Order: sequence, then C-alpha cells, then structure tokens
Amino acid sequence: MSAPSAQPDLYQVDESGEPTLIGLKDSSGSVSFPFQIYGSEHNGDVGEKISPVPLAGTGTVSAVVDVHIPVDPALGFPYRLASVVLDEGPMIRSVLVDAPDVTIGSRVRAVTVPVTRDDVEVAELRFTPEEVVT
Amino acid sequence: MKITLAQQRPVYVAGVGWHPFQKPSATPYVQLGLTAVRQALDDAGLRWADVDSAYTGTAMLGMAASRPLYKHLGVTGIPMLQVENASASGSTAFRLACHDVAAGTSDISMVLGVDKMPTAQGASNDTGVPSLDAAYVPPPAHFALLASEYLERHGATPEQLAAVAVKNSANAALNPNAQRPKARTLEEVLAGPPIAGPLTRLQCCPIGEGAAAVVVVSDDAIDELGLDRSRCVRVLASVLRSEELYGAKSFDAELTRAATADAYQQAGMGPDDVDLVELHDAFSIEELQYVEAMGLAAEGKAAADLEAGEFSLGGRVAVSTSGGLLSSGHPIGPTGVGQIGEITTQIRGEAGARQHAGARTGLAHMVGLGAVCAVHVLQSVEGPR
Repeated sequence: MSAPSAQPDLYQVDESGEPTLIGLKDSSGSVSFPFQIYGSEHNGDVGEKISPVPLAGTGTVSAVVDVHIPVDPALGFPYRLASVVLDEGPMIRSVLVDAPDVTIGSRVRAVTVPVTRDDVEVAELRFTPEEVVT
Repeated sequence: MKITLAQQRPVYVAGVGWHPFQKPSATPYVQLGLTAVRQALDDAGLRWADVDSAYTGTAMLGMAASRPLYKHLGVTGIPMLQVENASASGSTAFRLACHDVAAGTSDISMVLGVDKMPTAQGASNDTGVPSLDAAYVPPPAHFALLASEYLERHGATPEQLAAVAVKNSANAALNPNAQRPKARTLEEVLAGPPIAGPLTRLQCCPIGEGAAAVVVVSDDAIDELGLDRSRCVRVLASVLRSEELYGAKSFDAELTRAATADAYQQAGMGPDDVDLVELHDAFSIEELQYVEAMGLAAEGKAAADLEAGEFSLGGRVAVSTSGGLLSSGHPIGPTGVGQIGEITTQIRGEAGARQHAGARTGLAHMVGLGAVCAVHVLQSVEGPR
C-alpha cells in the first residue's frame, strides 16, 4: 500500500502509488494546473463554471537540465529537472527519476517516490520515461 | 507648472467592495482581495475586462502581490502597480489611480487595499494556491530550463551562451559602479562552478546592495530653473505591462515582446532606431531571448549576432554597457534606476572608456516577479541619429 500523497491538493495517489494530477477546467474548455477555487486565468470563470479535472499525467519534455544547487536534503544534488508539456496543455516543472537518457521531445509520465517529510512517509510526484515501470 | 487633480478631467468613484475586516486568520491575501474586487465590480456594473489599470496598496505583504491575485479574474495584460506608503498605502494607491484616469491614460482603474501580517516569504509564494515546483525550481533552474530549450531550438552552443557574460564583464570592468568589475574570458566563465544546466556561476547575476537615483524634470522646470538643456535626456516612452498567457513559451520573453512593441509605438520608432539597451540579464540566457523579443536580432540569431560583436561597445546596438545585471549587479530596488542613469550618461556622451559612439536613443528594460515588465525609451534632446 502506498504512502499518502505529499500534496493532495495537487495530485491524488492510489494504493499502488500511481498519481492523478488534478487540473482546472473552465466553461470554455481551457485546462490549467493546478485546480484552485480563485478563478480561471484563461477567462476569469469562477464558482460553478470551474471544475476539477483529472489529468492523464503524461506529457512531452520541452526542456531538461541538471541542477547543482542543494534545495532539499531528501532530494540531494545534482538532480534532473524538466519542463513537461502535459497532453492536456499546461506546462509544469518536475524532478525526473530513472531518466538518464531523457532529452527534449521525450515522452514522460507521472509516478511517485516515497519520501520522509516531518517523520512521515509520503508519496511525492516525479516524472519518468513513459516506458519505464517503477 | 504643476497641475492638480481638479485641473484635469473629472474622475468619479463608481463601485465599492469589501472583504470584512477580521482577526488574523488562515485566509490567503488572494481570497481577501478577490472578494473585495469582485464586489466592487458588481457594484459598479463592470467586468474585469473593462479595467485599464490596477493599483494595489499594501504595506506588509512583501513584493509581487498584484498579479498573483488579479490573474484569477482572467488575465488582460493591464498595468499593475503595488503601492507601499505605510498607513497611507491605500490612500496613495487611490491618488495614483485618480491621476491615471484624470490624465487620460486609463478610463477605469481598480484600487485595492489588502494586507495581512507579514510572512517569511514574499506574497507571490503565499497566494494559497499550492505549487508543484516551488521547492525544486529556484530562479537559476528556471532560467536553465529556458536555456536548454533555446539551445535545442536554435542550435546555439553553451559557448555562445557564455559569451553574454564575457561581453558584459568587459563592460563592467569599465564601470566604477559595477559589483563585478572584472573582465572574464570565455574559459573563466565556462569553468564554473556549474549552477543549473548550461549556466555557470558567472552566468548568474550577483545579489548585493547599492543605490541609484535620477531626477525627472519638466520643460517648465528646465526653463524656470535654468537647467542645462543639453545635458537633459527626454523620456519618449514609458510602458508597464503584466503577464498574459503564452502557452509553454517563455513568459518573460513574450511579455518583453509586448511591452517593447508598445514602447516603440509610443515613441514613434522601431528597433532600428535603438542605439543602446540596458536589459534584465539576471541570467545569460535572458539577453539572447530579450534582444530577439525586442526585434534587435532575428529569431534564433542573437547568439550569432553577439558573437559577431553587434551588441558590444561600438557595435550595431550596444547591450548592457553598464555590465548588465550579470556584472554590474542586481541589488533589486536600485537596478532599474541604475539602467536609466547608465543610458542618460551614454546619451550625454559622458561614459568615458565605456562610451558607445553615437548613443542617441536608448531603451531600458526590466522584468519583475509576478510577472511584470517595464520598458522606457530615452532620447537625446537633439533627436535620433
């Protein structure tokens, strides 16, 4: 059984550790990430005109770099970071795992890894090459 | 001659709104502000899309509070300005909005006063909207990703990227006010240490402290006070814009493109008329992106133009004669004012060893968290080349 989502407002995690990112859909069909109640950046829709929408968690890498700055003891450094254009449209940034060969144009998918935060194990989002099963 | 608000066209209050005043709570400032703004719009019978400008009075939120709030009304690209004036912050924001409308630069201006007790982080990190990447994408990593994308798309090399820092360090070596007043070779820049992706330490600006000031005067002040008109530099254009939606494109570059286009139109000129530029090169990749967005280089050609010396002192258009943020430094508040000072010094012909010959028209560019972009065009009182 998987640990709970590290950021349940952003992504839910099932028992096998598979994450589902939660986006926002407005009345014009535009999708943004993450879901929030303040209103759509695209057209200002709010209230009943916006709704949470599960995203596929797959996308294409548009940029990838190794970061040599220590930002998180649990992550260490260097770590591999990517811009990922999700299939639904939004671009997000995520740490990559098991991705030594990822380049611009590579297909990736969302996974989680167990991380201890405040003495509690949680499932934290990462992206990995689409064909790799973790 | 100064004029008062009453001597300009009339202005009126058309709508009012509140979020109830309350004890400190977990309610994010974004929620407080949006509640009041939506109520005021409803009260006036207006849509957010009707609003031409927004002034946010706040004393305790920290920098970059405006757009992370207003964007939830649907982005429109209007100018946004945060006003801090202690207890009079809201009153001062109202004054600026009144003058804006009275002067005719806006027809409808939103004034919002919003505050909460101070937090450890800036307002843009405290919106109440969770972030997937805040912990893992420090500024150098963000710009390294943009560099990765640029190098791939245009076939540019890490060496061409590093050449930005080489050029700007050479300019800074001639600037007595620069924080990094030392010319660096390509080998030194590339030698690291590595920070993120292709960016090495010398391709990331230093943060420090300092000050810069300029005095802005009117024709009447020049005449009445007998100032030396030949040493005055005219401000031809002033533009302030906020971020819109650009898909996966670099938002700072696209915002720069829009703001610069507005500035050219306001000044009645184009990129060919620009002799020198001071731009927001906090990271080397930014110079390549922005000179293209400004129309000073063809898409994907900035690296080659830089290599050919077109952006050096004496080149086609000198970029960052001060050394830029990369080498002159980026103390935040003073940085944009320092840009105006550098361009004025160049146009006066008083820049000494770093003088760019024939400097008559200059463009100053800053982007800021949120994101916002300011562009100013300055020109010799003798006119363009």
